[in-house]
Amino acid sequence: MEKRDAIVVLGNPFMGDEGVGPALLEILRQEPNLPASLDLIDTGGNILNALHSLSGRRKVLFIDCALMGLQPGDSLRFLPAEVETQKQMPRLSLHEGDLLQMLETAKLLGQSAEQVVILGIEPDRVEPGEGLSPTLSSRLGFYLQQILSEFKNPI
Amino acid sequence: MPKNVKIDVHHVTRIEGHGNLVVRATDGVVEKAEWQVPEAPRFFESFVRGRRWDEVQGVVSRICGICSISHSLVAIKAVENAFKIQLTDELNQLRTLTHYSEMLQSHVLHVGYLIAPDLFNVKSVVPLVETHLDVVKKIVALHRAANEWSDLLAGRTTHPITIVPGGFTRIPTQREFRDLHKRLADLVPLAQEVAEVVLSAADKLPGFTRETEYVALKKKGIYAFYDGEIATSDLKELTPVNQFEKVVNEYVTPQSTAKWARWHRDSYAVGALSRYNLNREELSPLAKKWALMFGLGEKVINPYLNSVVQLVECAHVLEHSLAMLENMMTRPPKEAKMGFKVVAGNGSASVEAPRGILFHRYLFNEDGVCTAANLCIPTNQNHGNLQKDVEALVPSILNLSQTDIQKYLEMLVRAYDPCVSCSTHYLDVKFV
Repeated sequence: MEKRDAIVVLGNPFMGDEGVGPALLEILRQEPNLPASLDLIDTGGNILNALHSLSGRRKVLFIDCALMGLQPGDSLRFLPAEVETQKQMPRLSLHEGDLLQMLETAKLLGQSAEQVVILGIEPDRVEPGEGLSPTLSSRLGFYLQQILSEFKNPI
Repeated sequence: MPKNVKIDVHHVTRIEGHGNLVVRATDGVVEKAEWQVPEAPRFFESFVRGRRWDEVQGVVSRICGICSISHSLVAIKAVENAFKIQLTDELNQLRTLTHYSEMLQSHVLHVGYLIAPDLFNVKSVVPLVETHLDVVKKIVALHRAANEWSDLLAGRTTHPITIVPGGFTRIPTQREFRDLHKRLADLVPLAQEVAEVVLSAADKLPGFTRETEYVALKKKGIYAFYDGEIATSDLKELTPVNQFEKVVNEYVTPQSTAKWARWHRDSYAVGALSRYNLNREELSPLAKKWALMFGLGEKVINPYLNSVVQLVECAHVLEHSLAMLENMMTRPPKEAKMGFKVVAGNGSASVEAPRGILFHRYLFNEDGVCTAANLCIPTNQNHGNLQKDVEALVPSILNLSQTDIQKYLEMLVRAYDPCVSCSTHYLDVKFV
């Protein structure tokens, strides 16, 4: 059976630009020309659930708000191996999470996808409140094109 | 024996803030032993104001990525309480079954990802994969199965969509109930293997004890998770859920941006330990057997054993679910949803979230628009109790190295698994 692809988003729509992933997923759900082999997955506020979205897949694209030292609204496609996490987690609670650590765990378990790609989007505003900042809202169409181009051609 | 101790476990940001642990001791005298909560306010009680009754659960489910089903369920129950909607027993059973899927998800994650690294003396789950691959694979398999269980009943793993005021938008088919029964039956031996692995290393959990007031839901004839009245270890009488503000008695303290709670003492505890201490006799036979296997007595007052009790609850959740499914396989709920009228009202409700008793209250006007809300989460109820544990623990371990003191304190916080930062999970990266 042909392996499937997935777009996985993380984020909270009630924390400003942190919700950029779920906002893009809602737009993607209306997109008429998505490949039939592509699943759309919203893991919400639980990074550990994303572990189960990788196994047996060809390609998985994660979309997440990311502090990358770029200008607010800038987006960048990268591979997990191209970055190091800057997060310092005292591991006091399950409620903290780091996507990169989760991806490493999946790899060590032999439960990763054939290819994992991240689309990081530099936030303008991460604070309690619904809706994206104008900076990110005005670029949703651009992000969408970046996302769709990931699945136009085979790896 | 170190005469001087200086421990600062700080989290880096307020926006993704956790608690801080701060200890100061000079010449063997403890000057400060504090659990501090610096997290920024989340404003969910404001977010729901002005929203319709059928939007509320979708908003509050985003409070937490781990216990979003509990937040949705309690909000929906509060709406039903405000509109005087009575569900059939079958629908309440299906709600309980959905709730159990989250309990298994969360407990397995807590024990497997947060507690197991301490038991096997590694820093996180990543090195644990390298040293104990089989164990981690079992934990992941259990977690995946619990997620699929949520997918089936709640419509998705996190932030449920099929549970609505009045019932469900969809009832699984008889075949789906049968398949779920088979999958859960297969999970029992897997969960048993995980429990035995934890048992083999349970002596690594510190032997610290401190008695406190224990608070949980209680209902005759059942180990209460989804429904009941408020019980405390300090009183024989139960308190109705619509009086929960008299229980929590929220107050502010300079060391925390979150509100704390107290009832008959300086603090009280909620969570698996409280549920066990108040409802132990209602556990399923398998759960009682596991409790015996771990040597748990009638009352457990070691907070580090919270995770062990969570495992015992996993046995109960699986066994009770199998019993409920046997009914549903032959007699699935006839109606997915009860009819009702939207009216002005004041509705309150409670469920046991994985981390303890959870309360929501909403006021609705005649159009069903929310005009006020009060949400009281388990972690806030536990902060004061955690502080009292820290105060009692530190003097008793001052003879240890500073590294070990810090380790035991961090393990204590992990035992509670405070739910204080599900708001954000953004990446923070440097290109290499």
